[in-house]
Parts: sequence; C-alpha cells; structure tokens
Amino acid sequence: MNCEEIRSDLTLYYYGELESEQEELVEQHLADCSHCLAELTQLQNLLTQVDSAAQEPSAELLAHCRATLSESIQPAVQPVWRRWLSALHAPAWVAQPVMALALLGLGFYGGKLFEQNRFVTSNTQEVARVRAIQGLGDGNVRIIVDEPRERVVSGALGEENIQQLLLAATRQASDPGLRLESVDLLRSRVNRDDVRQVFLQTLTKDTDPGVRLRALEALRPFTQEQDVRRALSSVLLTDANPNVRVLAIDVLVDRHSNEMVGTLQQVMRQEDNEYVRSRCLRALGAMRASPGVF
Amino acid sequence: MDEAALIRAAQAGDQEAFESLVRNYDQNVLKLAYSLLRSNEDAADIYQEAFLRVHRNLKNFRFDCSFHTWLYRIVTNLCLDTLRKRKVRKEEQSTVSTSEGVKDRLDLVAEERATLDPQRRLLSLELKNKINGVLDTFTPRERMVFELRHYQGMRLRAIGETLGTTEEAAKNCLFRATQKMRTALGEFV
Repeated sequence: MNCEEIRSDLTLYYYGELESEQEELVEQHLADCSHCLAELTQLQNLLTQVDSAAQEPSAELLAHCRATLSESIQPAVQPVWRRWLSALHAPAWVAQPVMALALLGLGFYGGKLFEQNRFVTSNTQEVARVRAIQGLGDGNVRIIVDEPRERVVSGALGEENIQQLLLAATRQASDPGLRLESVDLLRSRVNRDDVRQVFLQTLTKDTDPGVRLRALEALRPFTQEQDVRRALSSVLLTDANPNVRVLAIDVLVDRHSNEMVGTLQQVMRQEDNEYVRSRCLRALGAMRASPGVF
Repeated sequence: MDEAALIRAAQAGDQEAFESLVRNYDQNVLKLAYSLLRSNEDAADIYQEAFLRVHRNLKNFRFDCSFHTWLYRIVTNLCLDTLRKRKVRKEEQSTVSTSEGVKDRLDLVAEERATLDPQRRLLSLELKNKINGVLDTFTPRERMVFELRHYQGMRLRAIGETLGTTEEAAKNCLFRATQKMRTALGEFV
C-alpha cells in the first residue's frame, strides 16, 4: 500500500470500519511510515476535539419531551365508554357531568404509570375497579364498582373502604374527570400519609394537567414536608403545563421555604414561558432573593 | 421482555410496552435531533413527531429490519427535512444567528455561563465556534452521516440502510466530511 491509498483509509481505520485484512495492511504501512502515522495522529486529535464540541440536550428537555408525548398519545386511544354513553340513557341520580359514568372495566388503563389491576380490599370483601363516583354533597359518597359483579357502595367520606376506593380511582381511573372527582373528594383527608403519597404520585405523573393542578392545590398545606417540596421542585422544572408550573410557584411562596430559592433561580434560567417567568421573579422578590444569573 | 416481545405487545395496544420501547431509544433520538438542529424547540418537535409516527404506524412494522433502523429512518428523514429547509430559510423566530450557526437564545445563555476560567474559555469557545462553523458547511447528508457515525456510533452499513443508500456511498460521505474538517481545522489541533 502506498501513502495515497492509505489516506482515504485512515478515516475508516479510525472508526474501525475496515475489514480485518485491510486493517492489517494499514497497520503495516503505519509501522513504517512516520508521515502517515502523523496524519493519523492529527486526525485522532481533531476528532477528539469534535467530541468535546458535542451539543447535548438537557435532562429537563428530555423530561419535557416525555411528558408531552404521553399527553399526546392518551387522547389518541378512543375510550369505548364514550360511544356506550351516547347509547345509554343516564339514570336520573347521575346529575354529574359525563365523567361520572366513565366505564373502566375494559382492559384499558390510561394511567400508564399507575399500577394495573389494583385490587382494593374493603373489610373482608375484594373489590375490583371503580366504575363511577358521585359525591352526594352531604359528606356521603356513592361509588359503583365493577367485578366480580357491579355493586354500589355508599358511605361517609370518613369510612375506610370509601377512602380506599377513592384512592384506587385517583391512581387508576382512565378518565381524567373521574380522577379529578376523586382528588376533590379526598382533599379533606390529605393529612393521611397514604392519601398524600397518592397525591404526590398524581402531581408528578398524572397525564392530565387539570388533575395535576387539583392535586397540587390539595397539597398546599403540606409544603413543610420534604417529599412535597421535592415534588414541587420537580414540577417547577419539568411539568409540561405552564399553569401547573405557576401554581407550584404560588404554593411555594405561601410558605416562604427559602431552600427553594435555588430551584426558582434555576427556573429563571430555563423557563421560556413569560407568564411563568414573571411569577417566578415575583416569588424571588418576595423571598428577598436575587433572580440569579440569567 | 426482549425487544421483539415488547414490540408485539405494543402492537397489541399495551401502552406500558410502548412506553418501555420508547424509553430504550428516546435519549439518543433527542441527542441526535438536538445535536443536528441545536434548538430546544426544534429537537422537541422532532422527538414528538417521530414517536407519534412510530405510535401510529407500529402496527405496520413487520420485523423485516431492526426496530432501530425503522425508528431512525423516521428520525433522520424528519431531521433532514428541517436541515434542508434551514438552508433555504436564513433566520428563525426563537433563534439567533451567531458565528456558530443558528442557535436558540437559551443555548447562548447556557454557553455564556460556562464555568471555565477566561483564558481556557476563550480557546475552547474559539475552537467550538470553528468546529460548529465547519459542521454548518456540510451538506445535510454529510452532516447526517457524520453525526450518525461520530456521535451516535452507528456502523456505516447500518447508516446506509437507515438512509436508504449503500455502505459505499455512506463511506464516501464520511470521508468528504472528515476531509472538510481537516482542511478547516488542521492547524488548530
């Protein structure tokens, strides 16, 4: 092999793209030719520099993309219940909007990050999936559950089985309206650890922004808890919906937690949305903190 | 679950399987789009469009090539379209024209906050500018081949398959690209 022939092979050699016989020939030549060896070294240095010029996307961008993708994909799956509903004559007692009649027992789980087939035990009975919910406005709740056969469970909000069913609905109902309803009804119980844990999951993982907003609002009295603050930071930086991000700021300012200043400054650095930015700036001002470098 | 089983489950409507499938690839897809287009907004758009297309068309995937190839065909086509449009159109709303090519404001700001000491920062920025400048002179195809080979570590045969060309053509493209690099940057290294 002569130097001319080697030249075009050097690039392929660098990337390990040569056949083994060809590679051997190149190596033999390089052993004897300092000129070509110098060329290779120069190429190696150059391509190493090119590596360091790589533009990498931020972790926040990836999180944002993932969240947006989930939200886009959900509506694409047509819930069968919508079609059933138009055929059904809704019973009189369901004065609630359509969401209260969402049928879930169809093998479709909208909440992909939620556990599937969550069975809730109520006293000694095993209850499968929540089918419909109605808050009766007087502290009582009526819930229709699916398998093993359809039943209606009624009781006061304070009752354990009612709360367990509502928790299951918050986690697994495919219809956002149903999840919203459950969050609303469970709000008064947010002092309970299990309710708070579910709300934190909802806040960071629910695909519907309205539901996330409601969960966030419900967690307002608990910003002194570390896991709530952590979830709020996550929401501030990665939630796809600007209204959710703004509410997260408001909730933080409520309690003046100064360790959130760093997070708020981070928001100022990366936030595109003008409304969110202005609220963030105001919050920093209220905490007597600088906007940071941005 | 191996990938074939994951794909079949996703084809059958299993949302979690689809999610897992996406997660196996989405970081690299975003990296590719961002590196080529250097814009948060454009990269995010490519990400969305690519995976939405995958979601819509997965039922038509017949395992006659690897899923990686199938996915990357979609992604590279979208990126090439954007790159070609950019060559025609000079400026975009959310971006700023710099000596490094088109950048969006956020990226500029992030760079300015680089924590290197002033002397090193100057050298490094100058070289980065030069490298990005040369990358901007590549044809969309040269850019793509270089990106796939150098940053994504794909074999030239796979690159050829993905871009609908031969391995030989991909090799020539890569060679032209590295030659441009060497000509423009030889003295800096």
